Amino acid sequence: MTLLASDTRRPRRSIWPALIWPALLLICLIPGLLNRAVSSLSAGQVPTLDTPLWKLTLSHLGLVLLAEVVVLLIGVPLAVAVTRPGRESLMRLAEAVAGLGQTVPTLAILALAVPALGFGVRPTLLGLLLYGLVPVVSNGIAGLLAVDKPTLDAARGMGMTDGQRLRRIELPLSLPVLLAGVRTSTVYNVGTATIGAALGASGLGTPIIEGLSQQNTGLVVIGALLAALLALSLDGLLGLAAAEEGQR
Amino acid sequence: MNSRPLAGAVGEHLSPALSSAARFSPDLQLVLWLGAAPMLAACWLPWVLLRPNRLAAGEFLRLPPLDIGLGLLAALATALAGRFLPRAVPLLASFALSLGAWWLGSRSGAAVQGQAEFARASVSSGVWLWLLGAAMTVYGAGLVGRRLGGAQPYLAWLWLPAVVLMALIGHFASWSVVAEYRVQHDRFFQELGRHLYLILVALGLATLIGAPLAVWASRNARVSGVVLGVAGGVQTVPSLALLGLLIAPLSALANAVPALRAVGVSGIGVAPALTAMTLYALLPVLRNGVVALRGVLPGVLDAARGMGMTDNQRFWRVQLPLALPVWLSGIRQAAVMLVGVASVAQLIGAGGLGYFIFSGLQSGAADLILLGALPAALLAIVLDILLRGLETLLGRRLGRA
Repeated sequence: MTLLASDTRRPRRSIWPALIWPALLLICLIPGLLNRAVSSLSAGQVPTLDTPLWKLTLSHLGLVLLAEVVVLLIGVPLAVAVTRPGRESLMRLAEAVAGLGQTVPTLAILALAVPALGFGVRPTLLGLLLYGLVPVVSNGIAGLLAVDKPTLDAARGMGMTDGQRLRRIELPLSLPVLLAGVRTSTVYNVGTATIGAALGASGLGTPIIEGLSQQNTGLVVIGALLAALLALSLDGLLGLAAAEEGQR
Repeated sequence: MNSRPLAGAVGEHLSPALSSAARFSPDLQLVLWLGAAPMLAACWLPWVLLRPNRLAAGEFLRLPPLDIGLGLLAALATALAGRFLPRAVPLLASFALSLGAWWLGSRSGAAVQGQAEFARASVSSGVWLWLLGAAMTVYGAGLVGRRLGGAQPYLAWLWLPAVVLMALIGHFASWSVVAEYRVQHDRFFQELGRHLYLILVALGLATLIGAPLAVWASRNARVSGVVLGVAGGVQTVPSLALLGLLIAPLSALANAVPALRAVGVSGIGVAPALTAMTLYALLPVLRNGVVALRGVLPGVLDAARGMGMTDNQRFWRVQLPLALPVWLSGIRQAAVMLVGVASVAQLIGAGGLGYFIFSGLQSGAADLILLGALPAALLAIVLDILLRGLETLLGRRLGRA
């Protein structure tokens, strides 16, 4: 068990570089600041939105995080289920579907869901789930497969049940790889949720789409800047969490 | 292959008739049942949505009773064959998928029979569910076929010529998406061409810029850290945001230097789309390039030096050929990703298949959305398969030369 519950961590890496992007994001969210900064792009007028920027950012973040929670609830049990012994065919099927999900363009999936689910949050949420699942499932499978066989045999020799081995050995050992998948999936979904604005889901894509249709460059830049900062922030923060986990 | 312990029910009463079935792990049968379940459900779901025109509300039509019976039989037979007659699985799975495609055409044809010219027959949940289940069954059948050996794996692909044949004889002519295609025939090829043009130019530019950078970065750890870090940061930015962020600097550039405007640089249109797509494609090209060039074993390079090769010769004749297959997989990832980014590029006026998707979304015309989304999805899949094939070919040629 020493490899799991050791308290002797190595000295931490500096966390400050990862906090640059969240700090920039918060500065940009100071009411009125960003709008005034981009006014030169909108023919001198300060672009305004019906919804305040912090609300758009929060609903964007909320959508991504909600999807990520559901993705974890589905993806991790799925990865565990298909990596049990004697399930090679199911695992291959899961990998093939995940590979297909990586190949098919985001917009195509989102758009294909519209005839079935209508406009708004629902098709976007479906797209976020499908796209979020891909890295989590494939990294989950890869992580669980990479667990050392002798380690598992040793655990069996110690008299651990299958459930104990899963909880105490396999899941902790595969956690870094799984976390990398969670990071990819979250960052990717910030982009997917941006495109979701084209289907009527409220978020940081909304100013981009509105600005493009009104030919208001300032509005486009506001949305694009905030979406980019949100993605970079989440990438940095989740990278920090993964590094912590890797250092244990 | 037979070393796997025989599982439960199959192993207990091993009779000659079951001996071939016993070769399959129960999970392979589970895959077949996973495919059969959506097909069984699809038999009762609405199959076709008939509307008086492409925007009006319509009525859902189901399969006729006889076809429901046939569908249930086909779905059950495939799953049960996994247990009792594995040799029949690839053929039955191909049949199930072809049956779905056949019904797609014949049911929509029957629906618009005798209707006014503007009537549209869209496919409904039943078709999608059937095709999904049949595709999973076909995948399972491919695994079955590989274990059986012989011609069996190819039988699982029989649906492909069948569907192509149906398309060629115009069997799908009544399907609303094909009707939409007939109306916009010229525009479709124009936008498809634009889509391909965007992908190829961006991929070419990314390779031209990325290749020297990757060679440089592979020889210098600090450079590779910076280059990969910057490219990774660009990749983190959502594609739509990157397209949006490029509008301002590019339009400012075009205003400041009128000569650039003359060659087509502006904030909206093809130029910002190509810039964003090139930046986006750089990361996979760079990352795989660095990994591939560094991955060449030092011993091989030492041997080349020992043979009296100059630095240049070693790079061109040894390092690059050995690195090429891995590098190509980065270019494949970039190409597949670009199919997706190019569909969004319509938002900044660059055209492509996104034109149909977005005009469909704006007018609420589901068929128009499908006309853009289905070819985009197919394009990505086909590109992926083709470039994978090229990778394997190159790997075989160069890796063992």
